[in-house]
Amino acid sequence: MNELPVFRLSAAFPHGVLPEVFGVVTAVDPQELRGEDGLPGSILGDALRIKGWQHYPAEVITPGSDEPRVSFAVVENLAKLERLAREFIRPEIFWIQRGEVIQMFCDKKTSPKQLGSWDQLSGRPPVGLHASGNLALLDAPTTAFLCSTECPGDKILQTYEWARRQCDEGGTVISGFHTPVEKDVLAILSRRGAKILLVAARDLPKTAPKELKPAWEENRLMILSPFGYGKVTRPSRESCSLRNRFVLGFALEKFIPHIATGSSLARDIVAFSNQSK
Amino acid sequence: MLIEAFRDKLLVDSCCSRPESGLIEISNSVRERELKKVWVDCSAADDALLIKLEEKKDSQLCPLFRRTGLHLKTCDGIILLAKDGRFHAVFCELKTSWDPDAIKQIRNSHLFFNYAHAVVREWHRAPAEEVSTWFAVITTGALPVVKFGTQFKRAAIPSTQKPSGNVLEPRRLRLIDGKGQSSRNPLHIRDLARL
Repeated sequence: MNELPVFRLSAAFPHGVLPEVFGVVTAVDPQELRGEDGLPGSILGDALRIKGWQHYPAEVITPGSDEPRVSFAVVENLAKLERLAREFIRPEIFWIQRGEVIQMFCDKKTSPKQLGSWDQLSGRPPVGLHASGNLALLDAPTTAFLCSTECPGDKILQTYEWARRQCDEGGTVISGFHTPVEKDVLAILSRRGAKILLVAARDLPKTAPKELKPAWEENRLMILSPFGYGKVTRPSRESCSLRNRFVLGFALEKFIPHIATGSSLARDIVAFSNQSK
Repeated sequence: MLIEAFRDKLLVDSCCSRPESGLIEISNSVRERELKKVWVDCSAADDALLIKLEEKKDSQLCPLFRRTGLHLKTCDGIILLAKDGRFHAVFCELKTSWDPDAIKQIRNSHLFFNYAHAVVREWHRAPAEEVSTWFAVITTGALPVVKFGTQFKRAAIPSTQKPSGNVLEPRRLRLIDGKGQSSRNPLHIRDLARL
């Protein structure tokens, strides 16, 4: 029985995150044509830099070869990537959509081939964080924001004031934006120019909520999920608790205007403190 | 093998195989120009292929041409020839008058060809055959024909296509290789470009 050809793909995304959709393009880089820095993959790398497309170093090992090929993981839409690959005379691109790897050929004759899951092909431990949106937001100093469902009026006003300040200062806020106060804050942040990291208590949603449209269009939104695709399809008490602990662990600075006694948030904060000890 | 690789795998949209007549047509990218078309007689070659690149101002390959300006402006055609197991690439540029821009165009094409050649090497995971490169600038008044081989012959230019002032008299033309060396057995393009 013939063994199926095995590909190996890996990419160095920041914070070990895996974008919801991206492509991997292999580079061919003749020594004599390299750029001033002489680094491998510099012609394709330079093109990506000039275009301002988000790209990260990657490696591809094709079946029958042990040598990894210098490649780039590019976070752009499929049409743009196909054009890039055609102009660089690449035979194929690897398109990754919600953790599934598809080999797409540039000759227009061969049908796309499903290769398997990214976790399986990367040969590494499963990805712990999935994301869609602007990956550069992960590098910005971030404030974690959480608030109990039951919250006194004065604390709510203080929170709105804090949210407006974040917008004026161009701050980055990470939260689940799940409780009513958190949702109100999300609407303020989205409308007024702050950067948002929304952590879902389920696998990565396919669509972003309507109120996040301005932030999405202005490239200042990122949706994160610590859950694998298809594993947690609806938020549950456990997934919300895990999400809250993730938010608390992500940012050094925290803004928690109110913790109701006996609430889930109170329990999550205790659990997080014990965990970090 | 090399020619097949270019034809079948790499440049599907911009490759043109040798027709039965053996004459490969190269047309000027600027249609209003006096010298519109030339025919290159490749019948003596074992195999031949015309590679024609589209000019693109927004080419994503621009970093490849950084030394010649960030714009993919290519020559009118690259003819890849196989003869007796050797491969030659002839970079052809049609000019009505001498223009330094031709050098840039040929250089761009040369860079692109080298890149494409590297792709072939990568594709077959083995060293591809050596290719000697030649640069040819064809101007009006030139014999607009290349015959690959030792016997030179003029190609037919239909009278309707014949541009005025294009003198069809045989002249010895030289080709210069990539290192600037003139061929010992000069071939047949009247003007030459030394890069």
